[in-house]
Amino acid sequence: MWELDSERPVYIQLIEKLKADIISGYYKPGDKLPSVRELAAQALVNPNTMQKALSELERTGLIYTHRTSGRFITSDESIIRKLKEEAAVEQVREFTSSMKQLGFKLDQIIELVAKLLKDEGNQEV
Amino acid sequence: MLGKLIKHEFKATTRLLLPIYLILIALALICKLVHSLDIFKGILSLIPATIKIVYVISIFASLVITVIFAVMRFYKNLVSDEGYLMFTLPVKASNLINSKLLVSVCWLLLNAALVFLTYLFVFPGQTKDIIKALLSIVETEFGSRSSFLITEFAIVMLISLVDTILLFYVSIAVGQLFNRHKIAFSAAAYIGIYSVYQFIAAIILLIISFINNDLMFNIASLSRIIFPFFIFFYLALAVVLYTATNYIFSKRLNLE
Amino acid sequence: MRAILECRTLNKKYANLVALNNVNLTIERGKIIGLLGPNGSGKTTLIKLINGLLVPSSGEILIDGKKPGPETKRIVSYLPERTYLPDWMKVADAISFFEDFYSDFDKGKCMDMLKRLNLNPGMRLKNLSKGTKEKVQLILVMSRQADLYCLDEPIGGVDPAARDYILNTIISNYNENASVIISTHLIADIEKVLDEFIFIKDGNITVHASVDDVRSREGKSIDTLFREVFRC
Repeated sequence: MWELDSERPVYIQLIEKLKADIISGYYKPGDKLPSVRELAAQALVNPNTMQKALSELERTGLIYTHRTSGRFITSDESIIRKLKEEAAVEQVREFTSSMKQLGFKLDQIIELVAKLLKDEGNQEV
Repeated sequence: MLGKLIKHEFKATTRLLLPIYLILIALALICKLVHSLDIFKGILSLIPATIKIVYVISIFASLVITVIFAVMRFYKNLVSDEGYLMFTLPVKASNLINSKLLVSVCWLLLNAALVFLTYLFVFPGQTKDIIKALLSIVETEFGSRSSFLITEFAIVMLISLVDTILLFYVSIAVGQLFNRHKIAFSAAAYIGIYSVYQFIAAIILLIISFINNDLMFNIASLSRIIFPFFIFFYLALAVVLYTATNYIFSKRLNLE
Repeated sequence: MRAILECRTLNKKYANLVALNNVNLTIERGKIIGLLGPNGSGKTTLIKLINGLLVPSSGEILIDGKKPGPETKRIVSYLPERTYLPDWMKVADAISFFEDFYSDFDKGKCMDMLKRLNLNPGMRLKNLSKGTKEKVQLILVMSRQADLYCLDEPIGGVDPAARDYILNTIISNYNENASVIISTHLIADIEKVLDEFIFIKDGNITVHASVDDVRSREGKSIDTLFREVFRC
């Protein structure tokens, strides 16, 4: 679930995981988040670190705190869409960079991707 | 807090001491039964005799066991692994010592009472005779001071009992001050302190006898001088031993 | 708020060795701190001093501003490395013992945790395995609402599942008013749970830093850093 590697700061990885959960729809817009302590216990991390990660997400608008009832995912769909786009862009960049390292040119990459996706689409039929 | 410690102390010690006392009572009952049946003739009369010996041995055994147990309990509960539990309780060291001292003395008094009562039960005639004889000796020698003397005697015995226990306590306390050869240091402390106070007592008595020339030959002085002296001396000793033990455990704890 | 622990030029010397050498340390409330060092480095000595089981040779050690004594023992919950409960007790006896002497003991929480680990209060400590005894002790210690928890090797002798449960318990128990000191050599398992960590070597504190700071600065885990610093 919470797979954290040991070399990078914990709070950064927590931010990444929470963002991924929002993107994947595990947390839907407007969903209530568990308490800091519960989240920390789930991830087996220090509550202060989890708090730090949540504060950062709050700063960027992905989460908001309601005075009495706790923390919620933003209901603003545009923010979430933007997050998804950012994540997608990041994926594409990483992918093309790896492909380039393998020696592929840009038009070869596009051709390969289109072909594979079409084949997969045919198989599903 | 002291009350809770005492309650816990009884809880921990009853399970080991009560059986011993029950055995003592059981042996007394068996002894009485066997003797009153009067069916063992000839060589079989060895049986009631043996049982009587066993009962008498058990009297001494119970007293020895009670003292040994009190000392071992003090050691195990305060200076071995359990010490980590006891010395992290929010209580003063003096409370820890007091609870153990009080409970040990309780058990000893109970033990003594049981010994007396069972003996009275098993050999009523004999006991009553001995008591009568003792009382009459005391009467003739001391007259009106006889009951006083007996009380003094009882007090001396009680305080010296407390001293015995405290001497073990302080020896254990001294032992834990060191990181190695703890038992050797404990033994050295025990022997050392014992020798010193015997020596002091002897010197004081010697001085008193020089002052009061016929002290040793006048038995009446027993009540007027010697017992009071011992009561005071043993009391002072108890205070010294207790203070030392308390000081070591409060300010010089060195739990391994 | 006042720091929960303060050591000022704290020294502990024995006849032939220096256990702690001029230790200066401040631990704030609301932190989970790792006390990390090899065997014989002084970890246990420091913890014993905090709990009043040893007295300093010189220097000061203050818990919530007070010297170790009955007052501080009331707010410190200690889990030693060894079995310190009397063997003859049943688990229920140990529970009533803690209830008697510690006003901050939460019996409900304790029974809850025992049930979750399938431990029956009627069991006699004498009959339990070492690992199970350790779990019982940990549950008793964590059922107190203390200001400072000192855990000496809490996850040493237990299986990975129990280890996770123990870390989960420590985290769930967290409150901003209390701190937890975990002394261990199993660093990789607990790194993520720590706010800060302390390296102690031959009685000296060599590092006191935040886990994430070190990770972002050095790009290494504390475990890796430890192996480098304490290389044999």
